[in-house]
Amino acid sequence: MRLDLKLVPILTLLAVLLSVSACWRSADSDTEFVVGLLAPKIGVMAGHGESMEMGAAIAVAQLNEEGGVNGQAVKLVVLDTQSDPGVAAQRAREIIGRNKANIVLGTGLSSETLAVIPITTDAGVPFIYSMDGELKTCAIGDSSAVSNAVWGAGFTERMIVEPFLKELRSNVLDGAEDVKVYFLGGDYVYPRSTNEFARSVAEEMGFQVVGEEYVDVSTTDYTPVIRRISSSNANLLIVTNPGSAAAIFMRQALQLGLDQEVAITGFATFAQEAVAEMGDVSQGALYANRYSDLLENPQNEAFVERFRKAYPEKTLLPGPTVAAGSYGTLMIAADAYRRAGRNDDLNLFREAMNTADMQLPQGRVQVNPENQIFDQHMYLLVVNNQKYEVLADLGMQSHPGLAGCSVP
Amino acid sequence: MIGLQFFIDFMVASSVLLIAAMGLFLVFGLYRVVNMAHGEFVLLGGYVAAQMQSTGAPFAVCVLAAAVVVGFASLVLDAALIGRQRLSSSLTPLLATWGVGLLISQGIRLIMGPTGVSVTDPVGRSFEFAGSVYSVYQLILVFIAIILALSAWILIHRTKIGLRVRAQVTNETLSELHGVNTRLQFSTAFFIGGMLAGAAGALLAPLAAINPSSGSSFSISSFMVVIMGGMNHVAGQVSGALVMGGGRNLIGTFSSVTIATLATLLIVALILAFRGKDDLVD
Repeated sequence: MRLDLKLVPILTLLAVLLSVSACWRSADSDTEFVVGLLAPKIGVMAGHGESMEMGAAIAVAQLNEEGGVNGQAVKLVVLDTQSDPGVAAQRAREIIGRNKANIVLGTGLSSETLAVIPITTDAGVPFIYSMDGELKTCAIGDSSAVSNAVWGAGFTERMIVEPFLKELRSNVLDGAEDVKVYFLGGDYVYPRSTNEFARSVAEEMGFQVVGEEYVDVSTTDYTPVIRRISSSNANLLIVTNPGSAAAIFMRQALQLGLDQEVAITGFATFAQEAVAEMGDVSQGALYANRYSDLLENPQNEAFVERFRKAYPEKTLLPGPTVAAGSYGTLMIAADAYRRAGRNDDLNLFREAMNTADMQLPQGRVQVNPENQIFDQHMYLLVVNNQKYEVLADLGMQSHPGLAGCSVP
Repeated sequence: MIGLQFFIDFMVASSVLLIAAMGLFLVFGLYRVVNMAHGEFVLLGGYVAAQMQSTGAPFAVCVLAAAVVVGFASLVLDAALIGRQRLSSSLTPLLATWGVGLLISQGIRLIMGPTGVSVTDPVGRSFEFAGSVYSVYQLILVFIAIILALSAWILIHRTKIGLRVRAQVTNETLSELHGVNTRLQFSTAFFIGGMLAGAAGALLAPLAAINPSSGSSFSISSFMVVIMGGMNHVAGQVSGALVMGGGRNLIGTFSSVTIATLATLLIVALILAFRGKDDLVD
């Protein structure tokens, strides 16, 4: 097919216009404080990504009401990582190169976070990842040093396992001496590493591990697994199987009466999206998390009010947990930038961020300078009518040093 | 009575797959039309049931509504895309229905959001017998699967309608010459297949994941049951479900779920390798 030469000037003009408009976008970013949010909008983490965006948008609106950050209006740019690490890396380059993000927040899966870290670190742009999971804030290539540009807002397994298991034994199992625990997880990195650590803590506490099993996340028939758990005489079941897999398991487990035999709990299994999808089969499930919309403090009441006004159509059972996380993350980062006095100096931001100490919707949050993970309250929660009711405040928890870092 | 537990669990797992696959059997097994939107039809049925149940409708009404909605959706699909292309090309319906499947799943995501929905077990009761606990609802599914299989067999092999359908799939041109309205007959089969898919989505929702991404899992398992069991035979669908669902469940009882899945796939591959060519898709 031959190119019609009459099209050449038209195509040239179009190319020029597109280039100029790109420059205009870059020029705008010089007068704005750009928050780049890498949020999965499709794929397994889509629900999480949608919630992250809502929380970040509320924070941006509030910051702009307060006059912006260091005189600059705050602009939120959201790019879809599609729950894919390759796409996440590409979007990270875009959000830094084209959108000139001052700070990057996100992502979904651990693999996405690990894909983004080298890109933001090379660019000297602060990156705060929001998902719970293993520590990812050590320096690239040196697990004994902390990164200069990565922070973790979520909690790690080392922050919750021990207080959670202690509270379970005393409050739920009535101080039982003979706790028989069965571990069940999805067959991938996060459940295996979390359960491995939880198992070691459980054994140190004198729990008897009566079973440990991992199933592919695409499993649709959990009956054989449920029968094994039932015949193991376990009185505590710890399920680390996030997402839809959790919903399938719980439906079938309750149909076969497993909840009458064991106390069912887990790490990430009863996260926001899973509880919404589980519906009433989540009733009575025990969970450890850093937030409930039922927490009674002024910051949370204000946040929940803002959320309801901004998104009246979103019931978001069991509550805007993930949104509260991204809201709090942006608020603490903005406060650090304000104390630094500049929006473009990583070292000044880091100095301010690592001394951060704020009251957020989830309670008091401090940034631990040793590992740049948020020290924060953890709570023992019980799911009641698809809401997280607070059974106990497990206190401020810290991650120990740089233990368990997964950054290569 | 551990043997009874194995047997019942085996039957439940088989029934789940049979219920999901029966709608596809009519369309793909008999007419060789590759409906890649089958899984999304099942998913749509689940969503309809969830919405109806949230209004307080009895579960039977939820199932009926799911069947009707998806039945009509399949009629639209047939009228717009399948009917014209069915005979001229086998690739076109495949691509068209794949696109429709994407439309359905993304449409659900846009309208309902990315988080899944739940359908409450309408019975919500279990009982203990001889040391094992059984779900009343799961046993009802076994009963439904048996009725479904028997009804399909009677319809196809013992009625005039079934005779005309078998004639059509054997030789469409000759059937037309003998006065069979093949276009109407196919549309009817496609409609019934859609209704069965919708009803399956509602029936299986209390045990399965109903979210915008879960349509593909229904598609994959249904296609495997239909192909493995033999394309033209109701008995084949039953045997396919028994091997894929029940077999996987039984093996999983004595080993890990992963090994059970691998072993089942290996068995399926071996069966297909030794199967006669005339049962496979052209």
